[in-house]
Amino acid sequence: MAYNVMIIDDSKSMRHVIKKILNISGLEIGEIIEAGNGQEALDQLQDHWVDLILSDIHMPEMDGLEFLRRLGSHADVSDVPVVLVTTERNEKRLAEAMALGARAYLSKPFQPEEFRSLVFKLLGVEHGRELAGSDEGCDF
Amino acid sequence: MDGNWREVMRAAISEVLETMYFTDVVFQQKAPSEPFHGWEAAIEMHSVDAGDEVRLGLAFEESFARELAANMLGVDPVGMPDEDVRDALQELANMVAGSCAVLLGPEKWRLGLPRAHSSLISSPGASHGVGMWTAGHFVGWAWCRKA
Repeated sequence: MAYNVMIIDDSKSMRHVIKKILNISGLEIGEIIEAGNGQEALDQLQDHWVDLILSDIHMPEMDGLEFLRRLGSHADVSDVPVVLVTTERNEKRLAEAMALGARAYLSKPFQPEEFRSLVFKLLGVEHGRELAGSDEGCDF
Repeated sequence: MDGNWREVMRAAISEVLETMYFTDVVFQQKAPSEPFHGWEAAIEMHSVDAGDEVRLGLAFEESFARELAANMLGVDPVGMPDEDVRDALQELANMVAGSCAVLLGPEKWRLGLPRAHSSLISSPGASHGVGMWTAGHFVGWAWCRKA
């Protein structure tokens, strides 16, 4: 199964790093949709189906928390898991994000393996099974 | 910049450079006295509890700034658009501030949006910052001050 992933971050560099890690993760990636802020993401979601959303919190125009609030009211995508990839360390804000529907958060900077494990876990994918069909080979 | 902040910044910068930019620097309390052409990135950190506002800054010599951006983007630094350098350095400031917030302990911090620009940079002096060096060459300054 190929997974469509949305990356929301105002930093092109960070979107690039996340894309790169996804592409070598061993997960079969379908489409990667990029957005520079929450509003752009909501607009893109009108035309794309995604299996996973990776979002920053601090962004101009519409931040990650407001995006989560608005996403909750979109019945067709409200079940899509959202992972916050963020420098936010304020526990209150992180708790607010989780209450708004985020499934997990990952602090930047992060190790690629940490990122990969979290994504696999959230998608319910077994590492070995996905890796067996990828160019990366299999780790067992 | 007091000793605690200096130590926190050194640790945060090292972590971010090694993890996301695949490079490292040596910190020294010295820098060239002449201004240098390069890039400056800055971000505000607001202390939720104490109400303090701290401005954290990173200044890099031109070629090192491009090397950092190239490492992050996985491209050749030659001919890299300024916009990509700006973006990579803004994200660097963002992550360094996030790491500082963790290392500073239980105090709650809210981060502003990072900014970066190309400019002629004057050394802030040893008492206001810490120099970054690699292979015996000066590559930049890190500093912070109350806003």
